[in-house]
Amino acid sequence: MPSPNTIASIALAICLAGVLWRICRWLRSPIGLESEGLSFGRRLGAALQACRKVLCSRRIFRMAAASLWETLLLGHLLQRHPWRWAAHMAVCYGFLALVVFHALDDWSAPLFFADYVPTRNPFLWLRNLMAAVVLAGLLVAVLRRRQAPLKIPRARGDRFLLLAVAVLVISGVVLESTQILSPVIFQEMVEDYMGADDPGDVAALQSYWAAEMGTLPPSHDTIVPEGVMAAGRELHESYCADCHSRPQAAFLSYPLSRLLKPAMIALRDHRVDLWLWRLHFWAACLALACLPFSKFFHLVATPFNLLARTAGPVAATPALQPMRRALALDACTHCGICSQHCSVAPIYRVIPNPTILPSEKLPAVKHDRMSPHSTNEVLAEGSFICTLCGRCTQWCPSGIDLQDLWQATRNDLAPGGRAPIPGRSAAAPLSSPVVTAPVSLGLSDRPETFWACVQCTTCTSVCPVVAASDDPRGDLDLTPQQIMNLMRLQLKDQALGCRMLWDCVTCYKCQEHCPQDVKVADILYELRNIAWQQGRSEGPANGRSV
Amino acid sequence: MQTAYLYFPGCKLTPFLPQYDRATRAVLRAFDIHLDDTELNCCGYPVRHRNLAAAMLAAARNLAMADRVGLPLLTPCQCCYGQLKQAAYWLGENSDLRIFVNHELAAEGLHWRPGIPVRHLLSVLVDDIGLAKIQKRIRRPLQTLPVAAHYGCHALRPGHVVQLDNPLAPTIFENLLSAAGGAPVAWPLRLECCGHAVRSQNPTLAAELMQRKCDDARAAGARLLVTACTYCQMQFTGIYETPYVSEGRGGDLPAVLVSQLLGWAMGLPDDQLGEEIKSLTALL
Amino acid sequence: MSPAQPEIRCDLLIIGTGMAGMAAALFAARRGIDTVQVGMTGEINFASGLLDLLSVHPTGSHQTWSNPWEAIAQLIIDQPHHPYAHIGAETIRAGMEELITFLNEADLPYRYQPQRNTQVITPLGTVKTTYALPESMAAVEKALQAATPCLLVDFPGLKGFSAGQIRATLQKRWPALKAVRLPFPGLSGELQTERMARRLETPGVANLLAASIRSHLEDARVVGLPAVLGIARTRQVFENLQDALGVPVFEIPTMLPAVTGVRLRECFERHLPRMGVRARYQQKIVSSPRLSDGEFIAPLGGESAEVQVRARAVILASGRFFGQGLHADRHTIRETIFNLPVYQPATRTHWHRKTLFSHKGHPIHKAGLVVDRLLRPCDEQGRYIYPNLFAAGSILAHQDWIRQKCGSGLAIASAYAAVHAGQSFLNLTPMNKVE
Repeated sequence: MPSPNTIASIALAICLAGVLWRICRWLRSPIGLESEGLSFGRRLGAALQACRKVLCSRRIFRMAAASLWETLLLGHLLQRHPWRWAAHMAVCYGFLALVVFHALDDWSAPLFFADYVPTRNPFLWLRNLMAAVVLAGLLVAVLRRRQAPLKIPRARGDRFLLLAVAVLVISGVVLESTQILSPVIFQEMVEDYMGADDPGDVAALQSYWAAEMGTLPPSHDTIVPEGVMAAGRELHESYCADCHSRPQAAFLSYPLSRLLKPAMIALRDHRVDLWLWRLHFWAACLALACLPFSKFFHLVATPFNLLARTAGPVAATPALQPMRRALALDACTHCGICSQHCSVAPIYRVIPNPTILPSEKLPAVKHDRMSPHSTNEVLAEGSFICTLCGRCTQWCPSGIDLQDLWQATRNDLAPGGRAPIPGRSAAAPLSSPVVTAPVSLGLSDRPETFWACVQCTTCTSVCPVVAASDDPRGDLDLTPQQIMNLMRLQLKDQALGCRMLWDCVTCYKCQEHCPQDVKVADILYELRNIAWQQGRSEGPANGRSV
Repeated sequence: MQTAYLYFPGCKLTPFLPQYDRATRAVLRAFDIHLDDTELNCCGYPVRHRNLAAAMLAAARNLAMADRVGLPLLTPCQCCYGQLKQAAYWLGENSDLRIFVNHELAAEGLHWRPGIPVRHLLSVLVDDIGLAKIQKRIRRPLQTLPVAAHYGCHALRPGHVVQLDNPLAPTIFENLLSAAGGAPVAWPLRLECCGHAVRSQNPTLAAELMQRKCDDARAAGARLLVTACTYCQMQFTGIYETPYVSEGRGGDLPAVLVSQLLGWAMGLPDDQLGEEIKSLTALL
Repeated sequence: MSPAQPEIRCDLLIIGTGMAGMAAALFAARRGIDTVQVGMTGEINFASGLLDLLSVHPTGSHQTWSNPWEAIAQLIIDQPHHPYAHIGAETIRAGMEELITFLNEADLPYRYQPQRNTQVITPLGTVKTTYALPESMAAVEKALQAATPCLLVDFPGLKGFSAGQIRATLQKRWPALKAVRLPFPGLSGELQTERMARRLETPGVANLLAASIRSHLEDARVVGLPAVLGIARTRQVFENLQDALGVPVFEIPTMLPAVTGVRLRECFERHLPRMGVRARYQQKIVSSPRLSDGEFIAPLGGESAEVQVRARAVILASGRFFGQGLHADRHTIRETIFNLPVYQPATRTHWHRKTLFSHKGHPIHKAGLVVDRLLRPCDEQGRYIYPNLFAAGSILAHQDWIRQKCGSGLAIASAYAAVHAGQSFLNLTPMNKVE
């Protein structure tokens, strides 16, 4: 078994290599039209040059201030979502404190405290406080998510992050409570520090510890005479008190140790604490190693992203944009704030394609390894339902320019950013709308809708699309009046593939001028809806070149 | 008493045409109108051609929010206006739709009911504020500049649904422009589509429709187009949603938004009105 | 938040936007009457542009008259229930003149001979008698009379218009008629007249057309085309083409819907609001109850109405069956808004004759509202139903405008008479002080 230090070093190495790899991935990002023909070297050069420019400009002071306010204090989150801010600060800074003053105490403690002993107050108490803060933060985060008006799908990454932090903290607390209880550790400590071979002394000290320090008593029902206890206290004062505060200060692990006491009595000869320590240690190493490959990476990416945003136009040159987008993908914490404010969120209730929501579209973009020739149709559907209102960008606490990301990915999904229409593939509809949602107004199925139609051609005559065409038959397949005729003949299916349907500008002139009040434009709309629903209709999308 | 509306800018206004937002707010502020900025969602128009229920739910949520806030909705976008009115109409007509929508809204404690007022900026200016009051505020009359009022489609038709004005012979826009001292021209294509609706599916057609309108307005003597819709203005001035579009760059007749033009005539500072004002002042 | 429906108050409500409704709105506006006009538009798109006064009487013998006034005099004697008999020749003349004057001022010039009818050719090549015709059609009369060498042009893809057929039909009367089929500049496939007309309004297209006609002109001294020479800018297109060809040009009416109707519609739509008519088109009125004070209240748009109109008097010009002023079900014909009594054959079996194309027409074509001299709808006993409800246009009973060739005249004259009757009513009745 390699030593803990070796394991930790390996984890750290994996972490560092991973971070480097992620950064290289930023430099290879294929997102957006700008990325085409942009070599790794040129991007690196551009990035370094931007860094140099920023460092030499006066903006650096503004950036420093901004990073203090936004990155360290999460100022924008505080202004808008104080509860989220509290949760995030609690988890983040509680955890950071634990890492620095507990996990790395061998290095960090001597720097700050001359008399650091982890088992003494205030360190004992503080460690519990930090754990409590982290756990409270986690609890608030979970509750907040439960209470959000819009239920956004939870991602595996979110769970992993919450779980990893929870496992680390809880295993630490449990570990400490078993350590408090452990008679084995007591024996070891006695041997190491007191070196006493008088069993009477040991018994006295043990009795004292059992009574005052929470250690398991040697046996169940010994009544300790007062004299022995006094001797025990004396021994404690001289050998232990320097390094051990009373464990009651460990306000999480001490009460837990009382709860665990009956179980620990049964397990008194087992090194439960060692198993827990391994769990705690391995969990920490695993979390470290996973950092670049999980949501933990936002610890690196988000501050970078905020800094890049503060840098302004210097960091927004075309050569840097693809990299910025890749950075943005990593900076997302999937907090879901964007989706809570998303303008098209109500549409998601009917068309349950999660990529309609920004918080879900971003991971989809990331997962899809977007490139200018992506064919991800689910993502395309979500991307084109988005109205680019920019509200997600406004609200994103990580400062991600989501608007730019959506614009770029739209273009990658459909060159020119042109909305796809059914016919890109013959596949079934991407996401079936919820069953209870009415598909149409039923106009096209009701004979009353067009039985008054006398085929007078008024609708075709007034149609600006027909008017703009030199050859309506070639350009549009069918004119409005011909479509109405197909409806009269109950040949709805034949109308679904025609180009008129997709070139209709929905100006409602046909309907307004119809002498018989036939709802021509409403029917055209309805036919489009049906075509979308069926995911069919050939022609326009395929036929039209870029 | 101060009049108040629940402001519905629509999705495209803030990112692509912030000057319309600024100018509209400035003009309405001058008439002591308060705009409530409760966050609303997409009107549903962009998804209308894809899915009826989604579009209607989106619209109904806004209407229900207006009901909750207790203010009439005001939108400067004609497509949003049309969609909100259409939703109210079809929710009234079609019980399946109504039941579905109200079931979904109930999750948020919202409810749609008939009669929630929706106003377009033009009706607020002409009907609610009134031309007389507007005329009194004109400081820089437009010196009978020949202007073409572009009505577009969705605020006007279907007329019995959207109820902005007479769908075949509207006068509301021209009356407003006359009040500002302009000389609105009579041009045959004033009620036609700007082309934006098919811009992504068929850019050639979209450009063709726009060009016909510009030609027609110019032939009628107009030197400036006036729009009252986010989409139409984006079309006429060549504003695209992504920076990657290589197609046409808007029409060859300058276009300004109604609140920019009115704001200018009222003597509001240029920085509240936006760049387009330059094309107006260049003509005077 | 749903207050009582906002109300538009007016003196006169005109229901209908066909020729009769438009004419009534025009006459009312010129008389300074506070008017609201409502109705679904569409039917006026089916106007041929020709203003018939009276050409055929009696219909059974299909006798055509070259002097409409003589025809009207005879009609009044023969058919005392015909609306013309209620209106009288002088009123008919005044109405026609006022309307034509308006059209001339509105840049849609018309030509007519006050004392006689004019002959024009139809897209089938038959000769039709009418009263007033658009300037763009006027050259046909002289050419037809003198059988001037003429080139007729048609276009592939335009249905219902064949220059060859016109030539064949007219061969005997007009031997110097030539026919040519030319591609329409820039358009192919099926053609609609409105599209062609709008195309011709785009700069340069008329010249292209002229160029392709010119090479076929040869000895022709006049050119006939389907009526597609523009809509809002007809005069420019027409003059442009005539100048380019150097010979007179005339339009021939086309199958319906035709741009000739759209021109009229757009002309009214453009001018009526400016003249003070509060036009609320595309608003259906499904009922209009009369209040205890005698005023009518009309919710616009039926059940989902956002606005209602309150009027002191109403002119009903809602048309016949196509315009949905009358509705025929399996048993009976009813009036759709006020549920007024409708004069009609006793049973459905008497609606039609055995011969479909009988010159006499079918009894159902004379169904409609019976009115008194002030054009107020009457009951079976001939008593008017409401003092402030008037009817105009094709909804009136005892006329068969299609066969009598008196559609526009009837619409215009009855509108004129109804507005006058309405005006006297409004002047005599004190204003309602409810406000």
